[in-house]
Formats: sequence, structure tokens, C-alpha cells
Amino acid sequence: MLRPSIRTCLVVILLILAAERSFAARTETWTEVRSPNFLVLTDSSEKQGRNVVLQFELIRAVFRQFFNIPGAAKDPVVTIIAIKDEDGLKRLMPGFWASKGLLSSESSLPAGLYLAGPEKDHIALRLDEITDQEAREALGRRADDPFENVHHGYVHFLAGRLLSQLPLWLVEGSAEFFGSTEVKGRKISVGAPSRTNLEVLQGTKLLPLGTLFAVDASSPYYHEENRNSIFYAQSWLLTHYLITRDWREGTHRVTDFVALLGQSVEPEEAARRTIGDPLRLQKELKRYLDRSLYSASDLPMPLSLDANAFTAEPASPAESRAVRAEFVFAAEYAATMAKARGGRRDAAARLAMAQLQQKHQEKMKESETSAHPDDSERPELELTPNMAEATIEKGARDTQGGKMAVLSKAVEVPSPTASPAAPPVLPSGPAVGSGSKGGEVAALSKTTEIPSRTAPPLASKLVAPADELFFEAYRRSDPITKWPLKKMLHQIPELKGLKPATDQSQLPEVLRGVSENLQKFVTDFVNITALETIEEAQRGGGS
Amino acid sequence: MQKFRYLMLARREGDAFTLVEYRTDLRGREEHPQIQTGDLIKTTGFASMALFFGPLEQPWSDFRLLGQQTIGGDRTEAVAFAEHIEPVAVMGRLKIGKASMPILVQGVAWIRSSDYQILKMRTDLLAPLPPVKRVTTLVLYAKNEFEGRPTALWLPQDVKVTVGMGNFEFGHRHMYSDYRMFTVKSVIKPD
Repeated sequence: MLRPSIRTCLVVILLILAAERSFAARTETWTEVRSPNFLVLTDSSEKQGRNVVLQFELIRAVFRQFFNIPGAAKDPVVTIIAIKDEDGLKRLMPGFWASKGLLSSESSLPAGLYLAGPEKDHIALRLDEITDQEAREALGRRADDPFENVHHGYVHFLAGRLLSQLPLWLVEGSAEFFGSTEVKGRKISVGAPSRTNLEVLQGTKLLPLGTLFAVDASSPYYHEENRNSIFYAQSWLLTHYLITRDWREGTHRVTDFVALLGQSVEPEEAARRTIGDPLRLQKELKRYLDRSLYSASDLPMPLSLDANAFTAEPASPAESRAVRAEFVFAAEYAATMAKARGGRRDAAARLAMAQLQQKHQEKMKESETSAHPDDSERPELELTPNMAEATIEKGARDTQGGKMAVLSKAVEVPSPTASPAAPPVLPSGPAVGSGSKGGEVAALSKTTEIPSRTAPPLASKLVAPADELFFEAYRRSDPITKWPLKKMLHQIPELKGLKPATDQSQLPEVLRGVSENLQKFVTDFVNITALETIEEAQRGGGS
Repeated sequence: MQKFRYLMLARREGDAFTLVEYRTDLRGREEHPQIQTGDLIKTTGFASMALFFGPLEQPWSDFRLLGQQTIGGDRTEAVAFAEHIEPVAVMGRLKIGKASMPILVQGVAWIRSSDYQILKMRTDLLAPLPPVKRVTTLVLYAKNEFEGRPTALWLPQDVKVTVGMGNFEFGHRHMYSDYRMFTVKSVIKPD
């Protein structure tokens, strides 16, 4: 007889999600513009959608050109939702903004939002900010790029794929420098200084370059949430100086520096051999600042980039809803991760985050090594209407070898085979829960050995390092087995007419009986097909 | 309303048993996402759901006998269960796009007192996983006999799935009929 030592069931839920009720009530027209690296969904004009794609493609092209990244190296497609105005952005995810206290009439939403996800990044933009900026510039007023933070986030994404051990000053400096890329007629402008950085530099003494070079993620100088600091401003200045010097002199010292870092040469030694001795560089940087030598550089428009070459088409209601739903999820996911970073700086949370980042980098490397030489010429990811499909995959409860062991460490849960929460024996019949209140559940009377719980051949990956955050949510749960009867009857309407049990004495027998039935079910199961009729049962939402 | 063929495939490798459930269109082509246009939710896995009460899964849940209830003339024992909050208890993942979350559930099974057959089952997430507030599945099982098979199989007959996402709540009803056994034959054709 087949012993069902591991059972795998598969449950898949496919959702074409409606993110918010307001979407259903409105008749909005959405357009999708696609390029090889971006999908833009916009409720504005197709032209604005194309311009958004062009802007980001330019940043990517200039960054990759400077760092000599081969054309075949792929980046995951980034999804951008370009909303006409602030109201639209509010409607996209009111819950998210409300949680940040940004839905009151006195507050305004940011011009954009960059959401770095474990698998995919998302961006939201308010297009009315572009109009405002153009108006300000037309009036002769210097206007900072409203999407500075978003561009900064995107260059982080590009820099992270360049070299995992890039020094932080160069990552942040590049994000500030390349993030300023913009179209100026038939040319592109790169490196325009931000007013914020200049204000900081004019009011703060420069850090010694040795200090700047040593800043890492744990340094007090580094605050990704608040970039108004000398570290960011000086990183921008140094990067600006080094890159424009390379452009001006036709050298490639910065890329040589990065290459040496890639060969594990110590940063200061790598600097001495390429970009210059730090002490001398410090003086040059001071002079660069004092003489206001920093300015934007004009570069020719890359021939391969043409806004008219991007595909654009109206998005179906289902597809636009799916993309927006995926974005809402990404925002909630990012908020959860940020909460973990800010609120729980314990070892487990940091480990989970580190593992998530490692996983992300591994995936990036995988995609790079699998890139086909011709890939640069074709779209790198086909986006289908099921982008926002939600899937529940149910699989075996298996240990997944080392993967589960790593997770156990992260969440401080003992490995499955040693789990004190797991009963020491497997009931041949009824089982009792470890979490039951004393006396409510009878103890087992008869037990057998636990079969080994090795990973079955068909098992899917069910637990990931980043899951700790979700386990946190589960730990706050109030399991049904502990509910008072009154709550039970209120929450589960199907229990109407229940005659409450006076004790748990019958439970072991019931569980044994149902267990035996399911053993037969597994043994006797054959391939089966049925006619399935699906109808929408309900649809609605709260305000 | 849409109609599909719903397939439940038993896969056995060594001691491992896998019940794979998926749907095809009525011509037998595997369901393509594009044919879902206009739909909100489709779910599979109901045949497997009772396995929370299986011998291998019982150790990873807590159980509580709630009492007795009559369903369609049958006396049943209502038993609540909640999965343990630990990685080994995870039997599935909720995926939205490429992001995903581990699924742990709790619920109630209505088990016929006379033969311990699960007649009805309800599951919910053990806790909301923002932005997913709720995934509630209610399954009614019915007895199905197959020619040449020694025992009848209890399989889903009527299923209701309700999903709460943000401020939105929606659901689908799945009805199953015309259960049949089938075998798959494959032929390798030379070039």
C-alpha cells in the first residue's frame, strides 16, 4: 500500500484583482506603453506615456554606457504607473496614503514613489508635477526635478546590478548624478546639480575622503530615508567630478576603479591606482566645489532610443486593473518591509532582509548569465494580462533542505525535525494541538512513529527567507481554536444550529476516523476530470 | 458564467503523493490567463483541502471539537483547526504578480458522525496579510463512485471563494458535475 508519507496538494487562486472600489465605479481610459525595459500604464495621453518611458530609458542608457555594461545584460522590466494628477494617485491606493497620514486636505502626496521589490520594482508618478515644473521653468525659475527621488531609486536598481560591492558613496553619488538625466531638445543633459545638494555643500565642511570611503549601511552618515546630508551631497560632488573628468579627458578611471573593486582590490588602493590618491583628490574636490565647476553635461541622444519606437495601445479594463492591483500589492509589501527595517532591528529581521537581498542579487546574476547576445534587441519580458494574478500554490510541507534550515535560523524557529512544537509522535488517529487550552483537548491514547519528512521529489518551494514578515503577522493571529464560542458563532455563520460540545473527549476518535478515510482517499485516488461551472458570486467593496 | 474541464491528477513518486488540480477549456487546452478576461477569481485545490485532516498533516494543526450540527439530515461533528505558525506547516503560497506570501489557514470541518466523512469544510487565512484581508473558501463535498474502483471518493460539489483585497471584496462559485476517471496516453512519434 502506498504510504502517504508526504502529500502534496496544489491550490491555485487566480485573481484579476480590483485594487479599489473606485476603479470599478469610474470609466477611465488607460494606455500601456512598453519598451524593452519598462511598462508604463497611464491614464494620461499616450504621448506622456511615451515621454515617461523615454526618460527612464535614457537614464538607463547613459548609466550603462558609462559603466560599459554590455547591451545583452538584461534588467527586469520595471512597471511605472503614470497618473494624471494627485487625486488619481490617491485613488490608486488610499489605504497606503492614509497609513502615512497623507490623505488630509492639508497634505499633498509626493510627486513619485519608487518601490523596490524582491522580484520586481514599481514606480508611481504624478504627471501634473511635470506640467508644474515646465510652468516654473517657463517663468525663469530654477525648478528641481520633481522625480529626483524616483530617479535616484531607479539608479540604485541599476547600480545594484552593476557590482554588488560598489562602495556606498559611488552608489549614492551615481544615483544623484545619473538620476538628473533629462531630455533637452535633441540632446540629453546629465549631472545638473540639485539645489538640496548645493545647499548642504555650501553650509557643511567636506568630509575627509577616507571617512567618505568608509561609510557603509551601518554608518551614522547614511540615511536612505533622509538624503539631506553631507554624505549624499559630497558623494554626488565626487561622482560628478570623477565622471565629468573622464568625459572631458577621454579617460575611463572610474570604470577602471570599479573593475579593480570587482577584483577585490582594497578601495583605497583601487582609488590610488585609478581615480587618484585620496589626499590629492580631496584638494581637487574642494577646488571643484569652491569654483562652482560642476555643471550639467550635454550628451548626444542615443540613436537607439526613440519614443515613437515604443509600443502603445489601450489597456483593457482587466489588464489595467491587474497592473494597478500589482502595484498596490507592491506598495503594501514595501511598507511591510520598511516597518521591519525601522521597527524591528533585531538579528532575525536583519538576517531575513539580508537573505532577501541576497536572493534578489542571485536572481539578478542568473538573469545576466542567461542573457542571450541578441536580447538587447528585443523585449526582455513579455507582460501578459495575468500580471497581477494571485496564486495560491499549495504543496508539500517539506523541509526544502538547506533553504528551510536558513529560514529556521532567521525566524528562530527550530528545524522541522527538531521542532518542540511538533508532536513527538504522529497519531495514527486523532491528534491534539499544542496550542489548545489546558484540558480542552484530550491527550492521545495511541501513537505511531513519525515518518521521515524529507523533501518529496514533487515539492515546490513553499518557504522563502523573506517570509519572516508574514510569519510575524501570523503570530499576531487569534486562532479559531482559541475563540470563545460566542465569537465562533458570530464569525462563522455556517455554525448556525451548533450544539456545543461539553468536552473534547470525542475529538480523538473523530480525528482518527477522518484520518483513516483520508488515508484511503490517497491510496485509491485516480486521475479524475469533472465539468466545472464558475460564476461570479459577489462583487462589491466598502468605501 | 464559464465552463471548464477540471482535472485532478494523482502523482506518485516513491512515498510521495501529489494531487495536482487545474483546469482546461472544454477542448482540453490548458487554461490560458487571457480567457479569464472579465473574471475576478478562479481557484483550484478543493479536492486536496480535506488533507489538513490527513494523518501526515494533523500534527501541524491544533484541533477543537466545537459540537454537533445537522447538515442535510446528517449528524456531523464540527471540528475547528488552525495550522501551527511555523514554516513546516506552510502548505501553499499566495502569489500576486511575482511577489508571494506563505499561506497558513484555519477553519472548520463538518465530519459525518456515522463514518467520519468530511461533508463540508471552510478555511480562512490564519491572519490577514495586507493587502489581502481575507480568503475564505467553503467547500461542499459529495460522494462519487467510479466504475471498477473499490471505494467511492468524496469530491467537491459546490465551492464558494471570497477574497477581500483592500476595500474590495469579491468571490466566485464553482460547481462540479460529470466526474469521470481518465487516463493519459502519450505516444512518441519519430521525426
